[in-house]
Amino acid sequence: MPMTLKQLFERANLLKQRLREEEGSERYQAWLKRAKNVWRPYQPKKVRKKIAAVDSGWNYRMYGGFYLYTIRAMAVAPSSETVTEPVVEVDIIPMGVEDSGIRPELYMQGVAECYEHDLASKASKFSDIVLVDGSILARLNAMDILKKVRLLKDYVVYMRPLKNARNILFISKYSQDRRLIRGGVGDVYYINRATRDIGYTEPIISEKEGVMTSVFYVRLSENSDAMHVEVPAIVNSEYVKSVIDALYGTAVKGYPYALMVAHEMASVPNDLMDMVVEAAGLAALPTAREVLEVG
Amino acid sequence: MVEIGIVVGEARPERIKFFTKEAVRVGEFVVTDTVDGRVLYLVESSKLESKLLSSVGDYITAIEAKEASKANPRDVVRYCAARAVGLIEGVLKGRRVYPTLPPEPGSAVFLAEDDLLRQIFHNDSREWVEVGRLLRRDGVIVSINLNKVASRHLAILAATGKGKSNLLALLAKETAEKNGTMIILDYHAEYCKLKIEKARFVTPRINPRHLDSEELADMLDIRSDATRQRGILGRAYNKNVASSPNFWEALKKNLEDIVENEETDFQAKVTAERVLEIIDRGLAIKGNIFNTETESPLDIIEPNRINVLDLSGFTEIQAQIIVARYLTEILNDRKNATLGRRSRFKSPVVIAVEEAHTFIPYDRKSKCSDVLARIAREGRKFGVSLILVSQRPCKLDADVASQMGSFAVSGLTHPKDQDFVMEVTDEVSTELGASLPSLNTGEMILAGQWVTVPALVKVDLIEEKVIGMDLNAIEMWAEDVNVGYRRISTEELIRL
Ligand SMILES: Nc1ncnc2c1ncn2[C@@H]1O[C@H](COP(=O)(O)OP(=O)(O)O)[C@@H](O)[C@H]1O
Ligand SMILES: [Mg+2]
Repeated sequence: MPMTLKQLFERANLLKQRLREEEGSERYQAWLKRAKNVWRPYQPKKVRKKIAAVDSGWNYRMYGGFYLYTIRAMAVAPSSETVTEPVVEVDIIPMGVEDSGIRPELYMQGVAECYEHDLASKASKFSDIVLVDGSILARLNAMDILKKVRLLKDYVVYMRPLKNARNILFISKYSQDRRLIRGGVGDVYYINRATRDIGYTEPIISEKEGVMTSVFYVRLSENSDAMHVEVPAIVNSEYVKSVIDALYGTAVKGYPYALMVAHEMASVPNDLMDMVVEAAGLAALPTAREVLEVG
Repeated sequence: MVEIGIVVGEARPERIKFFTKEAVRVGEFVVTDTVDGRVLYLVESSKLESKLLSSVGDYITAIEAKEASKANPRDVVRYCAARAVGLIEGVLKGRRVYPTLPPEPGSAVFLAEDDLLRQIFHNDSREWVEVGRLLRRDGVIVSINLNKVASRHLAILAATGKGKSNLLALLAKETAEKNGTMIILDYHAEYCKLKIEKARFVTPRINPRHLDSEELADMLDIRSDATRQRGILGRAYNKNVASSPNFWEALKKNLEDIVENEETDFQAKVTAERVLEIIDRGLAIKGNIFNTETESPLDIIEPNRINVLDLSGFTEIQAQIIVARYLTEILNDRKNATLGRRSRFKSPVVIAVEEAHTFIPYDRKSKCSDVLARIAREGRKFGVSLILVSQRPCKLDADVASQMGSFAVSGLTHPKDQDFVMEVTDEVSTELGASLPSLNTGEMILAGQWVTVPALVKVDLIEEKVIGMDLNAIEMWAEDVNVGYRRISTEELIRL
């Protein structure tokens, strides 16, 4: 075996031992106990609500001298019908983005999030609940970087209507938020190990850039993973219960189906990107073929 | 016309794929437009899939996915593949012309109208006869060209109970109505109750004079590995025996001579005695299959009749010898007829072979392999054609099967049988073949020269054939109760 591989697996093994030790430790048990204590089991009642989900997708191709990118953003119902006019953008990443040390991914993500926020606030007028894939707090925290590419002003404009929008929920499955359990890794890790049943945690309030955000966890079906939820408004546990009631009947493996549909419909897979490149008359240009698909 | 779908994916002139809103069944006929004109397609596969449900890995998720899928019309995909039958203009004239270009992707797909299908499938000119209805269109009668059956051979290949014998009986009836000649080699005495006016039921007879000594040994049921017995029989069966007015006496006389001859060794004596016993027993049990006076087997087969040859009383090898003998004579007779010589059969003869794999096995030569192969190859020239019937097509001699011009296929589940069918006829594609096991009794794919267009057909049930039905054992046992067995009391039993 080449040396590097041997070392690689030795390292992996070390990590395993460290995690094992951690799991046997007293503080780990304390975190689990804390997760158990904050968990509120709940028996949901199925309530039919109008649900919409917002997601975006982007892809880009690198050419000598420029990047071509495509963004799609959608607000859809679980029936695949769009709730508001979808947004598409095909363009060249502005010169200067790279100069300011920002990767094209970050730029496209900033633009896509602007669209998502715009669609979410529009959709919230026609829907009982609007789900957005992501974390508003994480977005607010990272906002400063956008200053460098002159995107901040737009970003703030689209962020503003979300303030106090009680029916817009930011959902993430893989959150690293640690503010509730304050453990070694994200809260969901301990919640998923300490509890199995449908339920929630009481909302805790955070403030960032003048936006009050309620943060809580919910699990929509037994034995599935809990989700990290943020609402850009102040809400209480009655509100959280009503959210579970509304989403519980539509979840697949504990994840709201509408978000799966939105993801599917907004994504820009490589073969679609190929067609865009062709339509843009760039098919003949040599490309780095550094294709990245992100949903 | 009703629009039912839209062409998607890579279309080829002979093959299209399309999405549909409602379910479309295999066997349906659809049409689309190409630059060459309107084309008729046969739907060969039909898929229905939920993208969401296809991706789940456990029961609970499946239940959740079911609910979610129900609310999302886009999640369910209905998807068909269809094969071009030909340009409608040509098909209506009985010609199969393929388009030179496929339809544009996005072209509308329409359901073919009943009226159009009637014009294609129903034909009341003299050589055509009705056999059933389109499986997906009750209102469309399907006719087949009986002339092609009588000249280009037909294979009926289907699992047991799918209606092979019924179709053969139907063809026999239609043949009788056209005053045709047919011989049914009835291996299981299935057709003895065939209620067709012109049907004749014959028990074949063999003139032993026409057999060589090995064949005679086979007919007498002498085991094929009993080489000594066969050797002695060969010694005794000389020219004099064959021409003697009393065949059996002459043969036995020769055997007795062997026994009594001083110079015969002990072993041969014993063997000859044994052979004498075998002949006596054979004549006692099955003497009526031999007729030393019959000039030709043809004497008992009548032209312009349905001749059912009951082979059920014979062993496999005996049946093969009889078939070889009969078919050779018939082929020769028809050769004479075409050459303008004296003959018994002035018009074509159709020979139907039930359990065809018994007579033309794939892995060895049977006693009648050669003559059947000859008829398959050159029978057409002389007006002798075959209808092969089998439930194990892959066990058939492929050379013979590949000479078949027409096919009726149903319900084959074994992959080897399906592959065989696809090999011998390009009309049954892999997609269509995959639907074979799901066909019900009487539902068959008709393809080849006897139909204008391949189709899934519900064959008519023929009432004249009261055969193939399972025995009602319970009824029959119940009847036995009343047939005079004295009840025995317990005391009687104890005493016994
Ligand atoms: N076309 C048909 N429609 C309805 N029933 C049929 C049809 N063909 C056959 N059957 C029924 O199915 C049974 C088996 O038919 P048969 O012709 O003996 O099958 P096979 O010869 O293939 O074993 C019979 O009882 C017959 O009544
Ligand atoms: Mg049968």
